[in-house]
Amino acid sequence: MPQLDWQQILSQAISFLVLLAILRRFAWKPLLTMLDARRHQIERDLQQAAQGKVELARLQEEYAQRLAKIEDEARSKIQQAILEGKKVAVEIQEQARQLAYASLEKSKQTIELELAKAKVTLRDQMAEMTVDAVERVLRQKLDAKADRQLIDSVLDDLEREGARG
Amino acid sequence: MASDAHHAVEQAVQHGAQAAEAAGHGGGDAIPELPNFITALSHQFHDAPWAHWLHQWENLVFAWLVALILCTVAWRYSRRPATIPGRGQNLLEMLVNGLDQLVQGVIGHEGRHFTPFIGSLFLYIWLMNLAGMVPGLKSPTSNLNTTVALAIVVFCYVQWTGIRRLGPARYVSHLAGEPTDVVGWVLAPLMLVLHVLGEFIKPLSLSLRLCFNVFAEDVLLAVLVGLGIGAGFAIGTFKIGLPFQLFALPLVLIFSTVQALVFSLLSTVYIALMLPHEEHH
Repeated sequence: MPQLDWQQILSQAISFLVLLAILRRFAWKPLLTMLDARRHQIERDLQQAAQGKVELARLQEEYAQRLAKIEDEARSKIQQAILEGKKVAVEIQEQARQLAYASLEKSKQTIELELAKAKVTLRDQMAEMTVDAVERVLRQKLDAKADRQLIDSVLDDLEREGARG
Repeated sequence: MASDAHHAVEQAVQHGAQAAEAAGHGGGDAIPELPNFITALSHQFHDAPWAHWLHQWENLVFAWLVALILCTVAWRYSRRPATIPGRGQNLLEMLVNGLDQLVQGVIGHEGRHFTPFIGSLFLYIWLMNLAGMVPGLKSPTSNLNTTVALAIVVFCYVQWTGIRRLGPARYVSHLAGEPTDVVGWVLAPLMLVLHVLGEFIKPLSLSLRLCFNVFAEDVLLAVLVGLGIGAGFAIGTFKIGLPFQLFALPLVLIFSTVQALVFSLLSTVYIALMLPHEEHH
């Protein structure tokens, strides 16, 4: 074991102090500063990520609410459209019914008119046929006006009896 | 058969001692020591004054070598520290962060101020301890001059920290046990003497512990290398040594690390004890 040598001790101490000064300036300071900066950055990023998560949840909730609202509106509009459609259908049915009724009425009137016409025509024809027949039967020519009156009265009697019967 | 084995071992020990002695300082020193490149140079050029100078200052030369390695690594990886570190920077950051946590764990948030000192001390001592494991190198910490120098630096740093943080009056009061009552004042001179003694014993214990532990590790390696050489010469036709020291290298690695850690941690504790109490509680 060597004896203590103050020159060596002093040299070693100075060596260490020089090393310390170099390392403090060129290694410890930049590395510790960088480690702190990174730690702060990670903290900040984590905080931002947490805030982002909260914001995302809030947006999701908002979108869900908005979607639900849109669905409600759509549903109510569809309901309204259905109701209006039903109403229009009822109106169309009613119009159709009215048109059909009017058409029916018109047809009835036409039929009645035609019937009346036919009756008159038939009556005229029957009268003529009857006169012809009577003329042939009696072989005599009666007064036209008197014949006509006679036949009308006969036909009126017949009608009355028919209406009664 | 048994006598043959006994003879072989005896011869091996003799060879080992001779080999270690021849390769080491070789001044008839009974303690075996592994050779390093400076001892080899001085052996080769024993008349040259530069070889003599190198041999005389070999501990300082190896300490400078370690310091140079440290400075190179520090410069290489902390010149432009990247936010996303590479492999080397990552390793260095792990060390720096670990040492910072260690110092802050003992001293508290104020400890950041002392991290460069303690960290440099640890890395310097650690690498100097490990240098003994590298063939051709030597642990400068196995020499008492190196450890005494480091202990004196720590002692001065601790006292300077105390005077700066506490102020001269409170520093003396701290050494006198911070007397507050009559009993305290009566005991103050005794406490002062005890504390001052304690302050001087601290660097003494630091330096002796480190030096003798590392010295013992180096001696262990030297003995094992000597035994290996002796055994190789005794049993082999090829004149090469058996690597007995390989088994001790993991142990030396652990002890070197532990001793560096003990020195740094105790220095941290001494600083913490010197700081105002409200700061490190």
